[in-house]
Amino acid sequence: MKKIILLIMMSLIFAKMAIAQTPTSSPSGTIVPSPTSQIDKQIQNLKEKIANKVAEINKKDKRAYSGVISKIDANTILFKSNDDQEMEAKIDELLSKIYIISGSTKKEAKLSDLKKDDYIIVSGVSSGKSITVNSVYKDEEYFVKTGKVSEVSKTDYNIKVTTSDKDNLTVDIETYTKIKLLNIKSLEIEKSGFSKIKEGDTIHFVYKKPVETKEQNRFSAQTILIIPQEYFIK
Amino acid sequence: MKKEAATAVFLGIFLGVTVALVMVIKSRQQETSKFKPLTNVSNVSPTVIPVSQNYQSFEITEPQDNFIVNKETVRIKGKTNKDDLIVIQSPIKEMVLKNKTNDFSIDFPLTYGENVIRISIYPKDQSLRSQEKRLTVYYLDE
Repeated sequence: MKKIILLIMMSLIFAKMAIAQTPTSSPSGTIVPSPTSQIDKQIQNLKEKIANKVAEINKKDKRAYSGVISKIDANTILFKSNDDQEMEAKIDELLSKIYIISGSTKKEAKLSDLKKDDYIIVSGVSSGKSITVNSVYKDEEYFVKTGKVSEVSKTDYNIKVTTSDKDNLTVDIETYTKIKLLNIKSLEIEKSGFSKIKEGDTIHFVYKKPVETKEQNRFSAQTILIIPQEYFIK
Repeated sequence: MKKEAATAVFLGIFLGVTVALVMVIKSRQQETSKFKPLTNVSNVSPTVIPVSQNYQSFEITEPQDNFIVNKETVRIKGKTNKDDLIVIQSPIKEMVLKNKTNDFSIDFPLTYGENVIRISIYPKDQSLRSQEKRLTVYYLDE
């Protein structure tokens, strides 16, 4: 009797195992995806994830580099970046584009239009200090500085400034120089003139890299914003 | 006789050790009472006193330096202290604002090509030094 019960139990267990391993059609009548279609779906998901990640990286790494050309030949431009790094821009004759920026527009140019000491912006795919160039733009170099006025020369129309980088500069005021003053009560920026600049004032100024250097540490200002010293002692 | 002698030796040693222990403890107590602590606080640990509990160091959170954008403005976001004066200047524009919270966010115009932007912070607290950061943003249509 015991043997019979044991036999029945064993057969039941085997039967259950067999049922579990047999593929069944779903009760609702839907088609269960085959392993190959599941793999396809996974591949598709993976492709989408990779594409999204690449787009994200491109968006994050959309950077350009600028500096002064130190050497140029048929397919390479060496330039010194703003942080004094020697960078190499690799030019592809067919793919790389050269432009010259003039005001708010650009015009297409040739590699031969670029020369040593030109200021350039380079965009492309960078790997360390080497860039595979998409585009090179010739542009003008501007400097934006801050400093304290140490001397005002009413006769020579210039001011001496000690910058926040501890440089001593002579800033010439030209007819084109735009001078603005911070109203310390309203904090509005107002048009002003050379006579409003006093020793001890803080100024924020912009100058363009001169074509010919007139004197070491002497520049012509494009714009000056005066923060009167009264702002700091009120 | 042997038993009596052994008892006497044992008592002698016990008494000697007891007297020695009492003497050592007494002498230690006398020594510690000579050195009085400078303060009544038993646990003194060094503490760092910050300049200000809520001091926020100046930082630019957006955009990254050397970033390329393809439109005429860029949103500059950063952190500094409340009531600091923020001066933002580039070759084409200057803006001045007083920070109302610890964060600032401003849309700043760009010119085509390179835009060197200098952001200066003048703290309300005159004892703190002004700070500056230089940011380069490129407006290029690529």
